[in-house]
Amino acid sequence: MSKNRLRQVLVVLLSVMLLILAACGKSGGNNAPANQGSSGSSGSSGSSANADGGQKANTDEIVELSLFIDMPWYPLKEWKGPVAEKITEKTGVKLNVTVATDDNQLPLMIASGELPDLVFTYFGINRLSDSKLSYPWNELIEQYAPDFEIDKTRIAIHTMDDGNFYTLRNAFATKEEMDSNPYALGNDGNPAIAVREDILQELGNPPINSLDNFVNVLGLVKEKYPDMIPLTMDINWIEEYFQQQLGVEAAFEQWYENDGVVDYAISHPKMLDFYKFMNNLYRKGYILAENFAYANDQIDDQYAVSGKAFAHAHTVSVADSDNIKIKDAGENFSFKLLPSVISDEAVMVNSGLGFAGTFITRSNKNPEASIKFMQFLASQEGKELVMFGIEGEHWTWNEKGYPDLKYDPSDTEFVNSVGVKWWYLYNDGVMEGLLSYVPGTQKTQALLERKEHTIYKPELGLIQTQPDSEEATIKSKIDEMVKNESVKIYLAQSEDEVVKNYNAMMDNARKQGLDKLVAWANEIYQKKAPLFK
Amino acid sequence: MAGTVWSQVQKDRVMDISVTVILTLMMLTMLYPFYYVLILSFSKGTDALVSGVYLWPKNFTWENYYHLLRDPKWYQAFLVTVARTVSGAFLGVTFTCLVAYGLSHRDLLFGKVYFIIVIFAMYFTGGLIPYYVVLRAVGLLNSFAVYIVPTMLSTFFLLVAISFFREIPNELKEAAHIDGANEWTIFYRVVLPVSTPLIATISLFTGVGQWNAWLDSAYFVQSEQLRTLAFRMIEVINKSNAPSDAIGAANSVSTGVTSYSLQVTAMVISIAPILCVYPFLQKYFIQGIMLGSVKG
Repeated sequence: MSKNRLRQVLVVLLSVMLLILAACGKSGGNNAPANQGSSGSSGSSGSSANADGGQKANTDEIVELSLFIDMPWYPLKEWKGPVAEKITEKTGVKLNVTVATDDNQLPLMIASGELPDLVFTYFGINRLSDSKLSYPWNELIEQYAPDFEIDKTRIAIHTMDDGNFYTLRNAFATKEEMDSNPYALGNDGNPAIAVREDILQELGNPPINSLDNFVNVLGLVKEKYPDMIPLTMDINWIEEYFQQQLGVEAAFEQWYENDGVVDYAISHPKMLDFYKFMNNLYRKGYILAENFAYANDQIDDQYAVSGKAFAHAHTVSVADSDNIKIKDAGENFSFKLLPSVISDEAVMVNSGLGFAGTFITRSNKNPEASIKFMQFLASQEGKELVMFGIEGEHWTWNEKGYPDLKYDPSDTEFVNSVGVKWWYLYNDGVMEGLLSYVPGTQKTQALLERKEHTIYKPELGLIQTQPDSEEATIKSKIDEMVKNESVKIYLAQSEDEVVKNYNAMMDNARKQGLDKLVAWANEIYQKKAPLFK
Repeated sequence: MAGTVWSQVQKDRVMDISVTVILTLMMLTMLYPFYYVLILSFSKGTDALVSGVYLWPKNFTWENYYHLLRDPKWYQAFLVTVARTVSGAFLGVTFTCLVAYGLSHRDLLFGKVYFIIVIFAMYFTGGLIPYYVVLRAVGLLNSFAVYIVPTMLSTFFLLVAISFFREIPNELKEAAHIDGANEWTIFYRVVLPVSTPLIATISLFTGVGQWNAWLDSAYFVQSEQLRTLAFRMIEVINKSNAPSDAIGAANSVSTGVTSYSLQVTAMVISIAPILCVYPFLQKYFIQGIMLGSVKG
């Protein structure tokens, strides 16, 4: 054999060897749990259930479970504080917490098979509702906690096509539950606009009880204070307040229903009126073009708190939180909220299904302790403990029926150090709503006003695309296109251009598959809507 | 004649002044954002929102640094980062130079094959998930070694080093051979001493890379004791980046939103040490960027 030939053969042999070595790893991998701290004792947790669903823990047998919180911004990163200790005392469970650094971490864990015992997520709900990844709660309840009662609506909302439910989202309440408690208010995810009280007074306190009045006042501000921005808007809350006032029943990327037929928000009959309204604000100079390009959600705060803006659009907390910052900065002006409803056409539809859910993964070492832990959190005692703190020490019930808190719920340092609210791996919208009820605050007043006008349509929230499905791809393309095209429409030079750009956007959406998406949504709606009747 | 020479000098002077002014303005434009970050770190949280902070903090305060540095997690993160930077840079340089020295010999058996493997590895990667699986298989997850071992060989600097070592005259090595030196001795006593620019460059880039790395700390480590400074900085910034729909659904206006001044303080703490070291290695950096380039 020639030297060259020998060399070639050796090269091929070497390459094959390398390939074989690369392909061989430790088979089965290192199945150590992703979180080093998980010890998850097997078998009974050594505790007994009481009528409340809580358990008296045998402190000699504390079960450690690993919890992954799929939210990089989560304020609590360790299982510590009086609330956490109390939960451990009641359930015998201690959590080793890992908070995500970014959105890729959970998919990495799923793909590599290194899931922790529990996962608390909102983006990953559809992905984790899979029997290969998570234990169905119904099976665990049947086996370990037959006295864990859950209402049929919640079960219906979370039941997947395979007939199982794998989690229950927190922050959800039915209309009946919310109506049954007058002090249960909505959450911070509601839009509002605050205006400078002092400037309003200087203008002679003109009434702002309609959208036209509001626009007129912006005009007066622009005339009298040419250096001031009449209206600054948080980058994430530009549209919703005005959409609701103008009768648009769904925000962007959501669905609305009329006479049993579902359609996409951009197709709403009043959406064009909304675009015209926003364009009018821009052409009159009441909003800045740069507002649509803010890189973060603090730039508008900067304008408002430094006294450079008259009106500030954000959430229902905007006036309260701006006023705190203004006071800290030593300034002497303040903001007050506009009424939640300033138009006869105003419509507020709540189609939410809750916020986030906890999954008991297939890697869980102690499913029994896990489902009993969730059972405690779902009990009245558990909900109160998680949401308000330790009764007697942090709060008490008053005779009216809402908690008297011994702390300020907006004092984030206290709230986070005690662990109030953030261990709500399961909780409900009523309890969370009670936390919002702080008499005397503008936020509470605004939420009370909104509650009177809110219509509940949770069945719309069930129209959710599955990960990697064709509908998900179509929806994602359309949403991205709408985001970009909307800015063009807002910044059009005339109303005719607004109409032209809007029609062009709708044509684009149809080309991208809007009709197919809507047809699919109606199919889902027809299937799911009866669950709520 | 004298008039012409004078006018030329004047022209040169005007040109020098213009260039100096333009470059100074460019320098200020580039430096000001860094300076702004620094002065914000010494400002109160609300001052970052209220305008008026330009050249000096409105209300000078150490509270941001106090708030962060009193947390023992930051000390721990600092120690871990220093340890990984020093050991990562040292081992990275050592390993890369050893491999490069071997590969720099043109008569190395299967030399071309090794080159192909290195080039292939430089351009193609399996992605994050296979990488994670490999790390798990070799038992590196959740250990300090996960910061060091995977980065011990930098393919890019390997090629630079090979090119550099090939520039060293063979006569030096032959002379050492004649004097009875073996390969180890030649490498240690002949090659390395003349490779100072190379070593400094690799150390600098590897060290900076180790200092700034946070991805491995986020994905491959769960122990809080092993977190790095860069990871802590990302944590502080993440707290402020909650999507508003999430905050709204989470029923809270404030998750403990970190003030902007606290975020920039975290950035300053994270980059300050490496900035202090950099001036001492700057001359090697300037030499180093020319390393491996084609020489005459």
